Amino acid sequence: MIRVTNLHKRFGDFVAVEDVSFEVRPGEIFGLLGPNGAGKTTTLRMIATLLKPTRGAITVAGFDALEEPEQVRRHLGVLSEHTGLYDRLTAEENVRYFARLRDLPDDEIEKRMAEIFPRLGIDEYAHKRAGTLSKGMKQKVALAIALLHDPPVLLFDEPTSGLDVMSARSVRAFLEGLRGTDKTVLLSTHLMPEAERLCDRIGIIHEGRVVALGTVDELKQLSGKQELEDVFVALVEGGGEL
Amino acid sequence: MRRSWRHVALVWQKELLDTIRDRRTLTLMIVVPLVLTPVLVLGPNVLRQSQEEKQLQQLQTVAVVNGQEAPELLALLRESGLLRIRSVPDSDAKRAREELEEGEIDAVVEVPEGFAERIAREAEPPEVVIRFDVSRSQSRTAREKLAQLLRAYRERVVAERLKQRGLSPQLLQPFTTRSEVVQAEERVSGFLLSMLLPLFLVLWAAVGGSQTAIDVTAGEKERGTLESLLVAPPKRSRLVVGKFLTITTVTLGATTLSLLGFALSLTLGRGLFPESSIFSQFGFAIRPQVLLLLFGVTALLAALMSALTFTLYLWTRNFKEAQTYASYLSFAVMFPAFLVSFTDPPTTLPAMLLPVYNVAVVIKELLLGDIRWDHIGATLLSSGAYLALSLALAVKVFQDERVLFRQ
Ligand SMILES: Nc1ncnc2c1ncn2[C@@H]1O[C@H](COP(=O)(O)OP(=O)(O)OP(=O)(O)O)[C@@H](O)[C@H]1O
Ligand SMILES: [Mg+2]
Repeated sequence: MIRVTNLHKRFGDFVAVEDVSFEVRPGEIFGLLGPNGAGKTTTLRMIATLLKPTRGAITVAGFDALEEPEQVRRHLGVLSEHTGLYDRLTAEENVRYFARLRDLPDDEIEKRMAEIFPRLGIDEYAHKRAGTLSKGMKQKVALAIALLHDPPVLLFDEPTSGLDVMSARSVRAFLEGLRGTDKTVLLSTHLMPEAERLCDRIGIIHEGRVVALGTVDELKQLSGKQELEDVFVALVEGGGEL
Repeated sequence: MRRSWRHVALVWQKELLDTIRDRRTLTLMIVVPLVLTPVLVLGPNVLRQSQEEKQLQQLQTVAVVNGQEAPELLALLRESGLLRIRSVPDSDAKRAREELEEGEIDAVVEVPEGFAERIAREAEPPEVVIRFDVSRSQSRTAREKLAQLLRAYRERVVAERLKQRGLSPQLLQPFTTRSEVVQAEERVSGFLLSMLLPLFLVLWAAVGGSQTAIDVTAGEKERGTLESLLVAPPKRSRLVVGKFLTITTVTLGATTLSLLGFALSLTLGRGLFPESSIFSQFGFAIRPQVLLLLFGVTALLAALMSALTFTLYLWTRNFKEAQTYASYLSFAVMFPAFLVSFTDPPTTLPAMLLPVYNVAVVIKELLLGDIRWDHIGATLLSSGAYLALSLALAVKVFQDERVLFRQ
């Protein structure tokens, strides 16, 4: 699971994340919903131990992100904002490289690839260089990398951004399949329908602060609005006040 | 322990594969040393040779005024085959000068009245005038040839006079001279090499791996792969060492290829221009011990530059910015390399502690057959220390989020 407590992040004088706290439990998909520049990526990067919090605490799968960053990374699968594949390696070589860096034995890697590739439909282009793949194909390969070592905790930063309708649908369907497993899933998005469809609970983040937190129904009740989009707009325009 | 080296090897292996698959890097590594170097080394010679041949083949036209007064001289000029000779009577002297001014002919030789007869009588020496146009190279060449031929004719006349008096022509040549080079073969072969090779080796060691260095640092940032790599568990230091070893490997590979290209050019040069002293002087007479030392200092320089460029390019935001720094860097390295190659560089202890410079000095000394252990020691120790510092800096920078996620 993930526990974030009173998280702050400053870049120079600029406050990117301010006093953010939330918890994501196993079997749950939690969404950070916010406009551009809200601080979603910064929060996910702190959880992934890529950035050091200015203040606050992070626990992932029972490990403290500041004390044991390597253990945290071992228990994480991450899909970053940029798909992050090596263009001159094939899809398969990309997956294998990252799996080996995680000390997975070679026979285990081959077994897992045989399991995951058909599920994501990667089989057909597994031997093509990543540079020749479409954005949607790349995103699926990146998903395979995040999942290959079967981590208990998953971070997805805007998993469908930049994808065409069909690719976005299939990635979303895949993520939906993770609900009800024992995975702890944290994803960020700026798309209301995506958050509404995928997430058990949502934290609305605006200018670095979580301005509302709860299930979709709870958020609608709290604001008296029928649509999540209206809740969102009310929060953002009201400077975080309902 | 074993696991950590596995991570280093994994990164090294992957980055090398990535480099080998990059057509641009590969082209730069293979085409430049194996094609461009021979062209650069041989090109000027091919050009010079063909130009010289053209100049020689072209016959300059010379009008000899009053040629009939000097039949022997005229015959000598004609028989030399170096000039196109036209004998004209005294009445055409003015016309000949006009033709010279207009560039229709290249020189005018004016023979005075009674030339042959005055020489035969051993009277007051008659004066031959050569008129030429200093602004035209054809005219200057004609004058040079004429001066040479006239000197030959004068020597012939002198020899004739000595003979008539029953004296040996050797009277005019009381002694002869001959120059001989005393240096050992190693020094001779090393002399020209010692000018070019330090430059070559230092430059390649400095910039031979820059494409790869940029690719594994700024390139990863720009393409967003760095983030994927950083969320993998291995310690940052292992990733740094793996990448550093990749850059060093590529640099050494590029340096070796460039040396091959150099050797190839010289071999070709000796074949193509057998009479050219530039090429015949390159006989590789270098002992294995010297070769080993050469490789050692070059490898150390390559490693040092790899660690430094890794840090520098990691700090830049993207490919383009890194490439700008790469060109500044090659200029910065070229300066000491040129200094060492083309001057007699100072070798005091403080000077021998200067990075890059000291390596260039040692390479030059080794090529001249001069093994100075104090210089080699200072160079190896200081470069080793700089390398350790640079690697420590590289690891530190690779942990700095302000560098890795610069905006
Ligand atoms: N390394 C950095 N240095 C300085 N400022 C930064 C850095 N990273 C992020 N920021 C700033 O912090 C703010 C939050 O950025 P962040 O990337 O977390 O937003 P986001 O919610 O992911 O937005 P987007 O939808 O655009 O991805 C932005 O204003 C951004 O400019
Ligand atoms: Mg973002």
